Amino acid sequence: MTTKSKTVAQLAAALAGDPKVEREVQQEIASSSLVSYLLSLRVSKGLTQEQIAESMKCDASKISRLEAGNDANLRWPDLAGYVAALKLNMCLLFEDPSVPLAERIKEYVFRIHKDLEELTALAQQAGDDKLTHKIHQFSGEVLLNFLIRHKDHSEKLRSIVKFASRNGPAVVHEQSTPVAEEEAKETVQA
Amino acid sequence: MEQQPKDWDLNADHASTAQFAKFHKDHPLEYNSLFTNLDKILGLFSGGQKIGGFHVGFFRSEGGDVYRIGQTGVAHAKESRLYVFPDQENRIMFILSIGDKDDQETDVNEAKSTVKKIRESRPQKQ
Repeated sequence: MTTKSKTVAQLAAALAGDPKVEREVQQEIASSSLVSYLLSLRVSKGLTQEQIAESMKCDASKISRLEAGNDANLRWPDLAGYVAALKLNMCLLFEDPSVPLAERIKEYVFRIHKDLEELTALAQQAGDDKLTHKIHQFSGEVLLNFLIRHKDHSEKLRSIVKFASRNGPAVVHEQSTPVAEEEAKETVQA
Repeated sequence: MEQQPKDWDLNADHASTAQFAKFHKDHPLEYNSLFTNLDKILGLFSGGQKIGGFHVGFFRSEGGDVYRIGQTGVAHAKESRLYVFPDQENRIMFILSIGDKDDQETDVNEAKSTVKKIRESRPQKQ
């Protein structure tokens, strides 16, 4: 039976000979996505269940059960304790879907700006040329990555504008120009 | 930008559909849990983890490159095992067999012999 390149849920259904199984397994996988993420974080940090347990002041078997369970069984103190044991900060994001997309994008830009400011402050505090240079380099990478994605977005918009011009009044007003992008690229290269 | 490594393929060429179908009929919840846990393990491998480089309670070596995945989170569960061969070199997860604790010894031996066959059927590297 050749079943290469299928998802686990599809494979489970194919082997059981019951198509309903695919959905059941998909749902079960989805219901433990947070637990799976926590597990992958622990493993990628090279930490053992015992180390997490020690930090959470509990038995390693509890960590084993937590990682084997699903998201619905996850208690808030355990989640907070596990994340703290990983030495990570946890952020809760409450997003209002009624807020217009444009407002949300602005919010992201401000947030990125805030993080970049923090990075600048870090460079100032460090007073280390090597670190400052790395931060400066990273800052350039951020801009380059943004430009690549923005270019892709602009091209898509441009094609919509052209289509709209041919088929009626233009409905999209593009704000960025190729000249602005070129200027930004030059800044990165400089 | 870094290139993402190829995803792991799933291969059930050596699995008996009759065995899996029967197990599913007898223990549907355990069956689903085994595959959900397989997905968790695949997630770790896809993230670049190496076999033996991590410890997860429901994933154990049985020797001879055979690993067993256990069921979790099922109340009054029948102790169940999904036997796999994670071929790290070729990024293929071979699904070998499924069974319960009672047939563990026979299942493990059969799984080991299947892995041997898989290895033998491959062209030798120069």
